[in-house]
Amino acid sequence: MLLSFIPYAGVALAACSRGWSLTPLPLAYTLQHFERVIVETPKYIVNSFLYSGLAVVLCIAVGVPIAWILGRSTMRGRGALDSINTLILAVPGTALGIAYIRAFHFDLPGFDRGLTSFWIVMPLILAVRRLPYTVRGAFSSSSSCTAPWRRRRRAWGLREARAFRDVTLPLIWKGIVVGGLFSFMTSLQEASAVLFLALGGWEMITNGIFAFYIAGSSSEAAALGVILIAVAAVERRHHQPAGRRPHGRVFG
Amino acid sequence: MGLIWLFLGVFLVYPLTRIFYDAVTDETGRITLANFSAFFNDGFYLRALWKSLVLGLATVVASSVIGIAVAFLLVRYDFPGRRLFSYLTLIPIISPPLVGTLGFTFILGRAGSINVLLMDIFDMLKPINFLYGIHGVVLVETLHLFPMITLNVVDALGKIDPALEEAAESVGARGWRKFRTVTLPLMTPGYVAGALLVFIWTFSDFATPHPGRPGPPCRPGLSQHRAVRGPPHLSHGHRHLRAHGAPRHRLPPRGPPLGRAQGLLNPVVFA
Repeated sequence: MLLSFIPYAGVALAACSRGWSLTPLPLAYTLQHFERVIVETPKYIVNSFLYSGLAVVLCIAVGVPIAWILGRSTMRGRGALDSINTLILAVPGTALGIAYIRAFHFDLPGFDRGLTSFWIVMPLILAVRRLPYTVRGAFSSSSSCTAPWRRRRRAWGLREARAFRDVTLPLIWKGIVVGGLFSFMTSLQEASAVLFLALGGWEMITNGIFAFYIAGSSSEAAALGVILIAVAAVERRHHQPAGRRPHGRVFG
Repeated sequence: MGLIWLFLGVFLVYPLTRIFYDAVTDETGRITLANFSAFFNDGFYLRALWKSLVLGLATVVASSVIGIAVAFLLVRYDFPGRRLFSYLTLIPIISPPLVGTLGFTFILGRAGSINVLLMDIFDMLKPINFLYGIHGVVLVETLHLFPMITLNVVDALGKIDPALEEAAESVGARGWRKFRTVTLPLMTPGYVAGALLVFIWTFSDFATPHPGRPGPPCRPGLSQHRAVRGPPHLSHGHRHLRAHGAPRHRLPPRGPPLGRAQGLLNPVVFA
């Protein structure tokens, strides 16, 4: 167990070290690496939060209706929808990244460029990759809206839209938020799918880690790593209280 | 419903269908298996496939040993700090894999803290290679992914009726025999689900093998990498594919790629 925490100690030390070389621990400490990645080259962080935020919005817009269809409707094609949603988990990010390049390299109508030349492709691929998490979160939440609740709703004579607003939404929103937070955190961590799609200026934090590391600035790479860990820790902190409630678990 | 299918169709089904179509057609659009034939007749790709399979299986075995042991500790034993232990078990899996890999290079790399200490204490002339090679990737993947096995086995163990194990004990099956003949068969479905996830994740992982090479960048390994791939920029693969527009183009370019020298190859990435 202790061994599995070695990397986090290493990243934290490297991020705060000044000229750490050939000594077991850094001899001097500084925060200038954080300044460099946050103030001087903020594009990695800004892009990551922008793309991941948009991806979560897309995930919720598509994932919540999918969860509702899977859990509450008898529509045809539910099985196929469930299978496709699960299929996403099995598709490697690199395969999806290359598939996007192959599929969307043609010029869009009205533009002289393909979809892969527009930055919107980044949140799109992140949303597709994280859709199953949002669907799971919303699905398990909608399970808490049980048959007695639905009977009560009918007994009150509420219309479908109002019933959703007044009864269903208050019951499921926590699960949706938890699923969205988890999708957001994992979108920030995504490396494989976006590596092939990121053009100059679109890079995310994971791209930045690669770029800094390859360019020899391993402390800056570590500083970006610490930021990713911090986001994961914050997400985990918010995840826990909601997750303890019966309708708030990400994985049901 | 229609909009959902449209979204999934355009942004998931179509790209995957397109890449499958590219794999089974030639430049003129004729159906062919020549691409697969080329793959399986090329020693470079075969080695990449073989190493990825070995890596996946080795990681499953190592993760299973740690994951099942931790699951048993959590489910069958009560000890001080058990709750903290169960929380810490989940930390590796929610942490970014790329950052974990980076961290290992700082601590266990050739110029990492452990090697510096060992060289100082034991007057060693050469550092120990903890990381660079398939064993290093197995180590990093195992420590990152063992919670997947733990979670599934904990779930499976929790569903086993204690009466079955008590019945086994009453007829003299204890310890290893009870585990092998009663517990293991009952928890197998949960374990297999976790093991499959670990295998798929490892087999298709890009982030872990990629930085798992000698650093920092002034060293020959990365110089070679830069010589092959040019100055550091991360849209290399994208530009390369877009420039050629051909599905059969390889990443990175053929020649003596770094991965070959390191023995860390991932077919999804490099083939």
